[in-house]
Amino acid sequence: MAVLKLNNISFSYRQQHIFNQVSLQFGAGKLIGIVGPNGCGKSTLLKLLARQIQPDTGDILVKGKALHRYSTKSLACEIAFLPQNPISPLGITVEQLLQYGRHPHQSWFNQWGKEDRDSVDAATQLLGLADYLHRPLAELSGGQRQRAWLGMILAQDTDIVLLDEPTSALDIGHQVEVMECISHIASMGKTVVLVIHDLAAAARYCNEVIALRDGAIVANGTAKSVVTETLVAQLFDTHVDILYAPQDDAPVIVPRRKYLHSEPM
Amino acid sequence: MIHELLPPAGKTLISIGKWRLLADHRTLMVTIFLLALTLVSIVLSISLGSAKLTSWHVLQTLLGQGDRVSELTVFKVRLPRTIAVLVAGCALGLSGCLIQSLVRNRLATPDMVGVNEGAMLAIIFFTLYITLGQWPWWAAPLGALATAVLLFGLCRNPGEQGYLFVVVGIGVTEMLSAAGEFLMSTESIVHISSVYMWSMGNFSGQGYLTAVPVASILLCLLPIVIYLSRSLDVMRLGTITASNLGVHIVRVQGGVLFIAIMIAALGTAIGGPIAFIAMAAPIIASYLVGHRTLPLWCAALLGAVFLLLSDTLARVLAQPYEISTGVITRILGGIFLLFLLLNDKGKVD
Repeated sequence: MAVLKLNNISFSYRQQHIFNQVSLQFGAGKLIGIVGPNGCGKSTLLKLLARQIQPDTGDILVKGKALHRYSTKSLACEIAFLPQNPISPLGITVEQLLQYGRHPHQSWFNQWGKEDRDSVDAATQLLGLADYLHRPLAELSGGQRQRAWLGMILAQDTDIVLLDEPTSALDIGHQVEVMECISHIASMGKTVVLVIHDLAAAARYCNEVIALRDGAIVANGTAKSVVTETLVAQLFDTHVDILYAPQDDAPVIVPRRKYLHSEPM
Repeated sequence: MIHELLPPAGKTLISIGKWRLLADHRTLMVTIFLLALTLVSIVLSISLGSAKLTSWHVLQTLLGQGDRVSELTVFKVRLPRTIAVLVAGCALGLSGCLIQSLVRNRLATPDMVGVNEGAMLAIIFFTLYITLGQWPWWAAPLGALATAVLLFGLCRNPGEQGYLFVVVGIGVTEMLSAAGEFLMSTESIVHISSVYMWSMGNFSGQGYLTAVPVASILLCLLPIVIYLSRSLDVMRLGTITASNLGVHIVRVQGGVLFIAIMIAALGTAIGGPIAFIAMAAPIIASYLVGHRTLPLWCAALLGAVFLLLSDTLARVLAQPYEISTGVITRILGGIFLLFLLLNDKGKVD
């Protein structure tokens, strides 16, 4: 069953069409990667799903109900959205951040309950945050901080999770670490939609890959069927070779040089 | 087996019936400390002045054990002014904290962006041309709201971290204070001396007449501030994350802005456009609570402490003459602002 559905969505920004009559479905419990070149509209698509922006025409359905009919609070109980560079204010500790994740489930007169404690503890354990739970967010390394943000998203306890390039600013070790966490979150039965630059990581971790270019869907299917030499050429105007990783046969993308015999400058 | 519900570190869980509230230890300690400091400042403010009273004497008199002369000094002269200063200080500190956290810029306070000057201009206009002598404290919110509308008309949106807001606000401040001075210069100085003194930030002659209605309105606004404070605290994570966490951004922004402007204007109505209290009090309050929470109440108390001490200094420094309280806050606040900007330079460069 599709938990998220886009019907004939059109969206323009400053008189420029970004999407024209796009329709898409996201199946429940899957990890879905959205890939494509810069400016293809992948982050815009995520913002539309998170209701950060409104489509000009068409509708978006969340669990069968129109997105605009949710109240802010009830939507926050269904969809968690992590923007690309979230603000980490001074003085806030990791535990406080997780506590903020519980905000949509709380009210002024019910600021802390058993579910809150359980969700925060579960997020702490799953993302391995116990060692720096009481440290200020601003003092952590990029990878630790990104895990803390994922912890907040997890504590929010929603069925749908939207992540905008969660690995873009991280080194290779932290990239792997964060992707493993995300894959674990998806395996808990949540629907995770991930905008990601790194085609190889998308192919390796995602159940499904959607490729966008100029606001149109170029390919949509299982990672193996989508990530091919022709698709990469189509998306990025670059010729590549695709090899397969010795460990798990995941596709590895190796760009070809344009002028192989020219001297380096 | 029943486990006791463990609150997050550094917080206490307060259960009242079905209600479950969290209180931050450090914020609570700082609030209690500032409450005590406010009481000390009140006693100091009543004791010091041209007629000297000891603090012990003041306490005795306040508890109804004083002689006639000290009763007259305390209840008729000092206490009304002290209460007026206390209310104005709380209002300035609270409104500064509200706007700073809403716009996410420490320089965006009502005194920096022209809201206080708008309130001042309205009061000058009404007192010179319409109410003729009666103190039109109620005109202050009108002027302040009109200024806010003008500011939004010019800016459209506050810009990234409110910088546009601050820069345009500095221009608006100058324009409005010039307009106020222009209005006053059309009248003879004898007629407008009290308005002129007030426009420099002065509490002489201020008492219950303005402070009581202003304090009552502030108390009525308080429940709304308390209600909004929870959403405003989440908005420290930025508007995108806050809206993802279920905060109705437009509603909270509109509500907080309206209330902050009202509070700033009412504070201004008492003692004139006092500069820097609204900026310094929240910054120092936030530092005191270790940036753990949004220090609304600490900022209000600290605003009161700063203004009470400034006003006492203003009365004592050049005895038997009185310096305008606004001049004292501008001197102290100017030094603080310079310190802040030079400290920030490293981050901006």
